[in-house]
Amino acid sequence: MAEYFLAQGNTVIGCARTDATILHSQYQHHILDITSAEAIAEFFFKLRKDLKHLDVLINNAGVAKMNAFATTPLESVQKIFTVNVNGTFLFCQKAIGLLRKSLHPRIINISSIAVPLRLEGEAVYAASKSAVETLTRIMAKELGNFNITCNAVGPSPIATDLIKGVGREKIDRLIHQQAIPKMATVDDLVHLVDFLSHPASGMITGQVIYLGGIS
Amino acid sequence: MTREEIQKLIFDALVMVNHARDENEKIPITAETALFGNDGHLDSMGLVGLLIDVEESLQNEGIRISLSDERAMSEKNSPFRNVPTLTDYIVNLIGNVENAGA
Repeated sequence: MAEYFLAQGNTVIGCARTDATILHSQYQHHILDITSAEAIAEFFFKLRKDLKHLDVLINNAGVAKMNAFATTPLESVQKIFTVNVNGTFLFCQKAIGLLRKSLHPRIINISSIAVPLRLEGEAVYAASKSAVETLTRIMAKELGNFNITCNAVGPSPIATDLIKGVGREKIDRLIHQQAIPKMATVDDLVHLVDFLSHPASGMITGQVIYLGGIS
Repeated sequence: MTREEIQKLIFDALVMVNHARDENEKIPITAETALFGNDGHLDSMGLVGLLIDVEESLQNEGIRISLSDERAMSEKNSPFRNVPTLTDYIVNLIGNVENAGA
């Protein structure tokens, strides 16, 4: 995703727990613990000194832990909600000032097909992404006053680290619930994010779009 | 920052708000101006916009505080309901930040 937007001539600022995997003159990398509200506030405080505005905020940090509802420890619930919900909430909130200065400001949050498919074994993860979807829809109403569009995208299975521990059989079962029953690619997701980021997409807000024809 | 400097910063933010308003809708800029709630000149999103401007102006001065509060949208108890209460709120926050850092 970052590489695509860099290739389009944009400056990309990435945040991760670990070192950068991208080397590009227009790429800035920040090691950040998004479970820390203080670290996020400090990050945006510093960012404001270097940036005049922010065009697009993409919240794609997320953790997933598969477990049966009955055997999920509360610690897992707290960890998943801290990263997936609190992290998204804080990034959106802290970015409003910089986004407001853009001509076409966009927030794009990453949800999951675990929400519409109500996947067994992912109750807490899906609940956290439900929260992200509702945040997105209501933020769209409030931040529309500042011309900021807010949408969420839910990728169908893509071969990423997040699903590397999930068995092939389960992935196949998921894929066969899609209108287009095949594995998605990163390019499919990038295209959707690019579409929502586009300056011409200013009337598209409060939407949650899933890949693969899931609804 | 002194109380007067903070009040000036709020006035500057109100001037910015007024730029986008018609002549008959301009907000009076005084030390007593009601912002939100009874007789307030801002709706909830107008208040949010003002607070973001004030936060950013404070950041320009090297002061990092967050104007988020449980009572923000309370018409009766919002700490942001007029210029004096907002000024006091910021004075207190800055005091707390400075004390925490000392």
